[in-house]
Amino acid sequence: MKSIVTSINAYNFHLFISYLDEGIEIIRFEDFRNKFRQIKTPYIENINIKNTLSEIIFINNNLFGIEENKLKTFPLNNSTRNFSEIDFSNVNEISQMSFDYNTSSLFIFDNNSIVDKLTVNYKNLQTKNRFRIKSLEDNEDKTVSNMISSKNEIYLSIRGFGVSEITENSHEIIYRTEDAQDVCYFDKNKTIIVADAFDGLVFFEKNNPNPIRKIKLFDNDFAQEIKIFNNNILIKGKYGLYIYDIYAHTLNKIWNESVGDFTTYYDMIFFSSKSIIHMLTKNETTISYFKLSNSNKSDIKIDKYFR
Amino acid sequence: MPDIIYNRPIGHKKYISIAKHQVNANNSHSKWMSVNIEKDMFDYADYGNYMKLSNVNLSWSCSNDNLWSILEDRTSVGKTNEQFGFFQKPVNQNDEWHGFPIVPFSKSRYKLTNELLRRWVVDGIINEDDVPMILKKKRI
Repeated sequence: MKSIVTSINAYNFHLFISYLDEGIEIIRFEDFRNKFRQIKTPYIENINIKNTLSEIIFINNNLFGIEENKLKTFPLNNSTRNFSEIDFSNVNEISQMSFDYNTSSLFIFDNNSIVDKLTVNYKNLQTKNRFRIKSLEDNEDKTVSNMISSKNEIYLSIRGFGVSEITENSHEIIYRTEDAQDVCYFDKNKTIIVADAFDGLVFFEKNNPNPIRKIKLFDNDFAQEIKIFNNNILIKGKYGLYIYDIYAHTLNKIWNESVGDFTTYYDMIFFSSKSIIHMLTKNETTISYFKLSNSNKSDIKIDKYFR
Repeated sequence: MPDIIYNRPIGHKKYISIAKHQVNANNSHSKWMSVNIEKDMFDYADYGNYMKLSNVNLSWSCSNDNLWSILEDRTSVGKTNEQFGFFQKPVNQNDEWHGFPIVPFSKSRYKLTNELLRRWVVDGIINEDDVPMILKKKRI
């Protein structure tokens, strides 16, 4: 049986492909365009880990992941090659995390309806603030499908409920949708965009709980994840990938089959589809100069969208 | 609504629909769309197939013997759009099972094992591209 891809991440000219029961494969970008700096010391090629990491982020050449609801870290250019648990006694059961690169703050959501804002110094975490999510306190069965942070504000997408925005002083604003799968915040025009399984893409102006626009995907497809991508919105539907132009209000489908996980890096979109890894870009130059080291487990195909 | 006993064939697991998870209950617990869906979901999990054929497939169980289920067409089984059913193994073998609609991985105790995920992919219950989404608590 083919390996099952559980997540794809890109960081510092490396692609991180996680597999069910087969650890994480790390593949270096090679012969990359001259205008980008080349990495001097490539990372290790594999991380052997038995359990699946539910969240992965990267801070200062360290991989941070949530394994069995515990926060773990792994040095990527160190021969130690061991995951170590970060002693963080404030939280029993970590569910989501988000790192704000602008403020260097790590946000951790636990299943007790609390978000901790932390500073990170390798393995040392220090709590700077704690946010209580009031909308979750009275309903322990609600599920947070993602958390993002922007300028010290937190956005939680909550299944069967909508999005909760929590400000630094714990003020909470609710943006209701039917079944929120993901959320992103477009700072340029202060817009909150919710990927909802039934309502489609739902747009809110910040501080206004009434939606200003709803966009459905094509052919009864539904949105599962969204990311800001080159001043557009990249949407992962169950049956394809889409790009929404936030200024022209146009939606285009750029991939027409099912997608597992996806990530972006500069003008590239990496994703898995039926156990094959793909790289899509609209830039011909990127395709010409882009090469990956071979993967031991996955085929990798490179293609262009909007030919 | 009271608890409702589901009479299953002799020799099979006993099941009871708990009032607090029924559609009209007034509480914060997750609720089934209907008792009939709840019964079907338990049957599928117990028999390990959608035909309700016994002694053909292994149950859809995790390593700790809890059972999981999803409808063949993946429509919602819970009032807030949950697609999966979770049935925790009773403490005593002769006790009735019960369950509720759920989003897998919403809590550490509601963890679908890799073994069951892989088996579901092999058996065509889900596909490989559903796995990352289930792990991320998304609708599939």
